[in-house]
This record gives sequence, structure tokens and C-alpha cells, in this order.
Amino acid sequence: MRKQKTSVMALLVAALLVSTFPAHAGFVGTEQMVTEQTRAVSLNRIEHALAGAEVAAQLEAWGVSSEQVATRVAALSDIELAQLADTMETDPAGGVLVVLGVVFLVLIVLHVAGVFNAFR
Amino acid sequence: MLQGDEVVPLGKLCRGSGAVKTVASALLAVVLSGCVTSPGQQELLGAASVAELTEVPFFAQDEYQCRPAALATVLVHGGVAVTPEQLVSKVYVPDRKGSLQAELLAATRSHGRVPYRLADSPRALLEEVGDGRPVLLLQNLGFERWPIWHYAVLIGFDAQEKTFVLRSGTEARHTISANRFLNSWQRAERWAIVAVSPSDPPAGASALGWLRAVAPFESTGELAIAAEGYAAGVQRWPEDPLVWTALGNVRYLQEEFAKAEQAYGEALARAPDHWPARNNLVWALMARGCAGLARPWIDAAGSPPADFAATWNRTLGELAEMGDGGCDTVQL
Repeated sequence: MRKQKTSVMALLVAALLVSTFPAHAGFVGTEQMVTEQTRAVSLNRIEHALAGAEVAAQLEAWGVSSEQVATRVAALSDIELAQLADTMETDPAGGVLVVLGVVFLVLIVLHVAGVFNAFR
Repeated sequence: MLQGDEVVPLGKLCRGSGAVKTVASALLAVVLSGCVTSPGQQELLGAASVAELTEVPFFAQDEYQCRPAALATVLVHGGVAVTPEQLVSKVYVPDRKGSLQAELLAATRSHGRVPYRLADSPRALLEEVGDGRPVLLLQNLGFERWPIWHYAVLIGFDAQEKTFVLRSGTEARHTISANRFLNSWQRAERWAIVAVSPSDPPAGASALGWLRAVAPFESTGELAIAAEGYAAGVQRWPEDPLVWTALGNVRYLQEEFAKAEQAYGEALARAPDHWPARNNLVWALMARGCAGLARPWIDAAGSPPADFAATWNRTLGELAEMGDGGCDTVQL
């Protein structure tokens, strides 16, 4: 199992290395052109592949199946991959509302009890 | 509460019809007259306008599996044949019990729709709904410190009652006060998107916003869709050099070098100091074996700004290696 995962990852990195657009470094792609370079998002091939591997590893660690991971990573753009690799652990993940009531109740009780100020 | 007979089912009207225009202008008046005092303050004061996209489908989230219901809602409304179950494998992250924004964008693209990120104003939300488009948005139903992230779809609003109407979770029609809604949206950094066809930038779109939404198609090799999006862009913003450059880029990647040169030419005619256009034009000329033709463009260039110097030097280096040959092939 472990071995299989490693080989999937290796294939993924290889795929990212050969599939990166554009083919050469001097050409300026549109995504690069329109992204605010507030944080230097590097788009060279190696770093692109590494960002892909990082995102893939995290998705797998979060329970996404290895078959799905490759397709999902391939669907993300260069910039999205670079940004996800940086921030995905703290990025919002919108989900179900099952635990909502309980969480609210606990927070409100704590708030009212003066344990802490929940409202900012 | 909403009165049934006041509700204008926008989706049942043709776009651009009189009724829609009336609603849209009423809406605009609402927004313009609304006093915006704080981020949470709603902008719907004193208006009598109501809209609801009644025909937007509803997919309930079930309690045990997080079906990407909100994403399915906007895609299906936009004519994509998809079910929440089919989207699970594209966006659901089991241990996070939810979906990441970046993956929602990617999944939208994988169905051939452009995920356009709306401006972070309530007005932008209202305009889209007024235009007949449901809005997929992120809410934080918890607190800033203890967020509870939730995706919902905005389908309507009632300016008089100061309420918004959402397809949300297990509720097909969730009515929420404007204040509470806008605060929950504010805590999620006002993230909202619409899913549109590549040929149809939203009425309120900006050129830069549209390029940011379309460019990932180019990066992931979906060149035909990128080309469609950029072509729609130059129709909408014909004076914007950035949009022309983007069109040139996708033509270059499609190996339509003459068309690329033409688009870069349009960009440079409007903004001679647009360095990416000039740089990529040189690449297009080299690609079709006309390196010699690049010379006048380079001589006229002057020197690039500091942050572009490295790229420009690489390009000049490449050109020097190729020599100043004339065209190998005649394409024009």
C-alpha cells in the first residue's frame, strides 16, 4: 500500500513536470500576468511540481483517495497550486451544518459565563 | 415576510426584458440610495424591490455526507448536467468535512464554466441575482476565532423586509436577515462566485477579474475554452491592452502565431509600454521563424522596468541564439 502511494506520487510529479505551460521560461503566461505579485509566486517547473506534490500529499492525508488526488491536482492552475501549497491547512473548507447547533451552544454558554469573549 | 405576489420570478423572464430591467434599475436605486456605514450594514434601505430566482434547483445536503450541493446548484442552473454525487470525487475532502475554494473553482472549470469571483460588495451580489444568476458564496456561521464554514447559494432578496433568500444546507428556501447574512459573508472575506459560460462575462465584470477567472484554463491546457473567454473579453473591453495580450497568449499556445502577433499588435497600439505584450510578440515571431522581424520591436522598446528586466534579457538571449533570419514560412 505504502509503495503504491509513493509510485502514484512519483507519477504525478513526473506528469506535472512535463505538462507545465508554457514550454519556456521567457514567455509570460496570462495567469502570471494578472496575478498580484504580493507574494512572489514562483512558476518555474520544479517548484510547480513540488507544489503539486505538496498539495497531493495533504489531500491524501485528509482522506482523498490516491486515484482522485492525481486528477484533482491536475485540475488546479499553477497559481492555485502554489497558493494552496502555502495556505491549504488554514484555508476554509465549507461543509455540513450538523454540529452547528452544538458548537453555537457551547460558545454562547462560554460567552455568557464570561469565560471569554466569543464575539471578536 | 415575503408576499408571494410581490415576488418576481426573474428566471421565468427573458434576460433583458422590460421587467428584468425595471427590477435591475430599482435594485440599483436601492443600492445607490442605501447608506453604507459599516461592512455589516446592509445596503437595501428604503426600497421596494424584491427578486427571487424561483427556478434555481435545490439539492439538500444530507447529514452524514457532505454533498457539494451548493456547487451543483449553480452548475445545474447554468445548464450543466451534473449531480452533487458526481462532484464529491472532485471537491470533497473527507477529513476537513468540506470543500476548498480552489477546488470548487477547478471543478467549475472542469465542467466548462468560468468561475467569476465577484467584487466584495453586497451590490455585486444583488446585481447578479437581478441578472438572473444564482451566486455561490462562502459564509462563516461561527466566529472569527472559531469559524464554521458553509457554502450557500443566494437566490433572492427583499429590500423592504431586508432579507436574503438562500438555498442552504437542508433548507430549500432559507430566509435570513440582511444584517446576519452580510455579517456571515463578511467573516468569510466576502467570497462569492458566479459560474458563467466562457462567452458571457457577467455584466458587472471587470477586465482584470475576467482574465483572472479565465487564465487558469490557459495554464491547465484547456486552450479552446481560454480562447473563447479571451475573445469574449476583447469584445467587451476592446480598449484594454491586457485582454488583447491574453488573447495573443492563447493563440501563441495554440500555435496560431500570426493571430498571436496580431493580438499583441493591438495591445501595443493601445499601450506601447506593455512589456508582456512586447516580450511575447518576440516569442511569437521566433516561433514562426521570423526572428529578423523582431528587431524593430526591440529597437523601439527602450529599457524595461526593473521587475521585467530578467524576463526581457532571457528573451533577447534566445533571440541572439536564433540569429536575425527572415521568415522561413509565409503565414500571413
